[in-house]
Amino acid sequence: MKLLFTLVFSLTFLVCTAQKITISGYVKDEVSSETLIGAAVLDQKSGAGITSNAYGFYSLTLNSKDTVKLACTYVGYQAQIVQFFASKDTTINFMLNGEKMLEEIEVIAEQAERLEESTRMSTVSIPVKQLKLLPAFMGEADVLKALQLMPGVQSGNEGTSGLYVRGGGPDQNLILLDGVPVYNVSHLFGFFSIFNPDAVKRVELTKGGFPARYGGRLSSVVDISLKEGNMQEFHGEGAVGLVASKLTLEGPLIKDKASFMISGRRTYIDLLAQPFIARASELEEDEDFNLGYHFHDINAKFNYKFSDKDRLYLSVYNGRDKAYSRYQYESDNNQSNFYSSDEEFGLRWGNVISALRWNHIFNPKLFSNVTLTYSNYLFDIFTNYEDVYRNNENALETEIYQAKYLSGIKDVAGKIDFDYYPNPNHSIKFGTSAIYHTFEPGAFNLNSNEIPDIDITQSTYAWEYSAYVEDDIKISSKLNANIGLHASAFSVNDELYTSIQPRVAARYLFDNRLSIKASYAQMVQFINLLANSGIGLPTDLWVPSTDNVLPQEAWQVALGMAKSFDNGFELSIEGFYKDMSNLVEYNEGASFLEIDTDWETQVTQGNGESYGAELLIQKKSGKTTGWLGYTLSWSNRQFANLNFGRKYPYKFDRRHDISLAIVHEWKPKMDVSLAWVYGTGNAITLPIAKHEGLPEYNTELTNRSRSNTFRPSVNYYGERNSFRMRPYHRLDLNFRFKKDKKWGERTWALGVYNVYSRRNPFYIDQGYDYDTDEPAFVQYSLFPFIPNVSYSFKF
Amino acid sequence: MRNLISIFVISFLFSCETVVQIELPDEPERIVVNALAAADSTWLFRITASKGPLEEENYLNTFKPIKNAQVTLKDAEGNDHKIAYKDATPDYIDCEFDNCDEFAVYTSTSKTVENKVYTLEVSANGFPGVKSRFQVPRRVMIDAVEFGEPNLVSSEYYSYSEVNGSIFFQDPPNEKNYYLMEVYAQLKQYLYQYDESTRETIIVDSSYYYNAIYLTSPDPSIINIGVDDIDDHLLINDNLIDGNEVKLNFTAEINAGFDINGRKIAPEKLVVFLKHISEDYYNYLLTYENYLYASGNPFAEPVQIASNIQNGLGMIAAYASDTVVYELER
Repeated sequence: MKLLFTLVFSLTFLVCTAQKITISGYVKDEVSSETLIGAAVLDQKSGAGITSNAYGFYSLTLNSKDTVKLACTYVGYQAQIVQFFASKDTTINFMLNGEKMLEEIEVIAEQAERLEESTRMSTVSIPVKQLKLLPAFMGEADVLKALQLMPGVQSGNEGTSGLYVRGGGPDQNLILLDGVPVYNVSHLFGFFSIFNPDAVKRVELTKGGFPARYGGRLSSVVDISLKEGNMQEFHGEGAVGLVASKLTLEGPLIKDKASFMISGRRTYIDLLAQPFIARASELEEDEDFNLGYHFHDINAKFNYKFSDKDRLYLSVYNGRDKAYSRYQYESDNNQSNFYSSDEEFGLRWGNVISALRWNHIFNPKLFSNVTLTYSNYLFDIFTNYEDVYRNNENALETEIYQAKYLSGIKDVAGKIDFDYYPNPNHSIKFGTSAIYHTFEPGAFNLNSNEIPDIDITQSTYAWEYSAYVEDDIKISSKLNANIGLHASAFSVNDELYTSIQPRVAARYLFDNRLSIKASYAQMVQFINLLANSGIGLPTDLWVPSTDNVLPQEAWQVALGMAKSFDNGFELSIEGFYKDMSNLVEYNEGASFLEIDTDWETQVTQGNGESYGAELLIQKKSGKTTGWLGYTLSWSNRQFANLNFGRKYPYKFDRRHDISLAIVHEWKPKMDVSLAWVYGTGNAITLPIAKHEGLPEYNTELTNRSRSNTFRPSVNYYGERNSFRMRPYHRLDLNFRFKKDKKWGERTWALGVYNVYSRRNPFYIDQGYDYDTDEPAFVQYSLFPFIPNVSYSFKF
Repeated sequence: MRNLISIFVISFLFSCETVVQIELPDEPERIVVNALAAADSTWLFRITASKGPLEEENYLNTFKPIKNAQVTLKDAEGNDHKIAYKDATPDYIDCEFDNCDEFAVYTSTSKTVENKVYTLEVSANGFPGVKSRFQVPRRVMIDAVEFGEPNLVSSEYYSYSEVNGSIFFQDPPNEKNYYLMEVYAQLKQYLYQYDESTRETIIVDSSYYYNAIYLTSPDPSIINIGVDDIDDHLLINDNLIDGNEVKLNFTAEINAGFDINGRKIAPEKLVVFLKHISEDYYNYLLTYENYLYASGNPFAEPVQIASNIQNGLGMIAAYASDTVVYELER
């Protein structure tokens, strides 16, 4: 009997195994051959479905040989349906058309994976096409600024591109550019990010429920993928704006086999302002003065398809900012009191990022990606001066002083990732990585012929390892779960930190296209950002965890519901709670420029918590797209050495945050878009009293009475962040007028930032009310009504 | 340099100022007690009232002294040091034209004793009462002070003598100790008078005055600080030197004085102070220096200055100092 059972079981197993077939391939744009990430592929007969991975690859294993009706859909593209009899493993590549749009209803009817069906929660994506149509500060569309319009994401200070996600700080975001972590994402002191939207293919923000493949940061993952380059034809686009101009070129190197994309951008504020600065400086004939700022960035990507199974990518980013002033003076060379001076001061910062990736398909069920990456962020503050003068002996003497303060972080990394699709009920990802960090939180060089040279360097080296496994499991027709484990280790000096981080997410689908979702994630962060200010200054320092500074940790739970509607709207509501420990802050009054003081002695560690609820109503396709987001949240901090050890509101604790973004195709050649934001004012610390301080000099040496020495007036601040600035709100508008030309298409864009010129608070300080002649608190605002115009073109 | 970046950014950015009404909490006036309690000196407390942050402040309207406070100062043995209010206005001050509130103090005939613990209680009508418990440290003696040869550093705009020095002392073991080191140059100043008969300006008297000297040191035990723009102190903790015979190296910048004709007058002596200060005083100096650097910087978090007055404000800065006078070669 036992033997019979075994035989029957084995036969059944073999029959079942023999009947499984796997359909795999790539999903691409029909025109450019760009891979499409997250496209849905669904067998409409069996109901089995999958989404394409980060490289556009999908694999769907079906339980039996049968007629298969595969539908492939992607937001903004016409769905494609393929019907065939599948008798064996088959490769089908989908080429979707994004130029011809079906009517909205038809598109939605074909949509395979809807918002409520996905196991993932706390994730938002903005189509790049939509992002570029949104109103933009100074006319420069910006990836991170668009993400700031999403619920759960605070923008920090006005105009800056820092992301404060669910109460976390700007260092707690893992920002990936083609899989490479980026450490400083700011141009122009944070007013623009380094990401040129013309070079970007996809942007996705994860705020919670982190899949196991991500690690190293506590609060969010911003995954940005660059375009690969059109494999079919040569194309270009560019723009000339008030602040910067840009140009993107892409095309085949070998048709259908190799392509390139290169995109560059540069400001010219310094060139435009130069005549005005010279005039305003009232320079003498023998004087010259330059004051300026400029940035540039270049993205380049090359990809080569060796075979249907192998593909190689190389992406490179180089960007740099420089703010400077230079003064030069030279008197008459024939004079006996000849004197010349050349003084220069400035800040420079920038990133170099590169990634070399190899995609390999082992078999229809197993896909791999091997990546080697390099990332280098460096900033320096420099001051140079050279004075030449005649000395008492009538000889020319030169005094030279060159000082430079440098800081940066450099990573060299390798990783390997696998996507394995054993059957329709499991989609498994696993992989491992190693990163070699070099931290230089402060190095100081001084060269002078007047005083001894100084060379102070603080370098720290560390290894960071990680491994993960995650499985997206279809438990039943209604219940899905994503279960994973992320393990990491950090080795620095003689210290080794290890961590095991469970990640769980689940979704239950009701019949009326409504689902509830829940997630739990633990995260650990081994590197920290010391921010000496509330804005994204390049002076913010990246430092490692050490034997004195423990790794930051967090755990987060989220619970929510999601629903999509036939008219294209998607609704999601989520509540979250996040607990953070070992957060790092500067001690009060500490500064990044204490170069002769170990940074570890200037920081303190403490805890934080944040909780709240988010609402998002979004529409991604059709003539009118956009979203409405609302966040209600609380975010607190508690440090033993700050605020007398008492809990205090986080600086960017924003009770209410509302954002409305709408893009409407008014006419075939005209778009209009608006963005309106509202936020509770940032928390600030203000004095609540003032009092007399101790005398400031040695009373034992004065001949006068010891009682009448100078005593300062000092402020008493009370609780940290116990005041609120006024609420922030702003309306931006943008109009675009397109016209077809023989060579392509041109567009004029007219926009306004801060339409009703709201004086939003940037900073409050003690000052003076000249109307009442009394001391008062004075609010400083940044940007009033600012119009912008730009010209863009495509060919 | 540390504020240049902020200035650089601010100058590009700020476009609008608006006076805003901020609802401040109903913070009552508090008793503020300040004192530099040096060992073996008579007690001298300044007791004033705090103000609202936006209250007017000028030379004639400083902090109001509390003249009717009940002040009790007791040592560990329970002895009451009988602190009483005193108007210490000098005879040459005319209170009709000068602010005599500056001279209101509380004092006694008794002196501070080193290595003793004291408790202070102050109460006054209309104010919540305050307390403080503090210890006057033991004097730590300077074993020796050495100065090297001065190097003249000069340019078109400045000149000073740079001198390397060392101070030697024994740090008491197994306890946390904090020190404040100061160096003063003793300079002569002259009183001039115009002689009608000879039609010349002649010297009729001379006296000494003291200039604080800029000090710096790369020693990791030393935290360079200064008050306002003068880096005239070295603040030291004993984390790295606990219980050791200490030799601390430093560099001093000595500026000359000038006579009525603009000629330089070199200092005659250097007076070196080694103050063994209380932990409260050390925290005050650290936080006060950080407070000054953060003030006016919109990108820095404001700093709360340390206080050892419970339920009140201010600082009783206790210390014991030893002094060495170093004769400079002419």
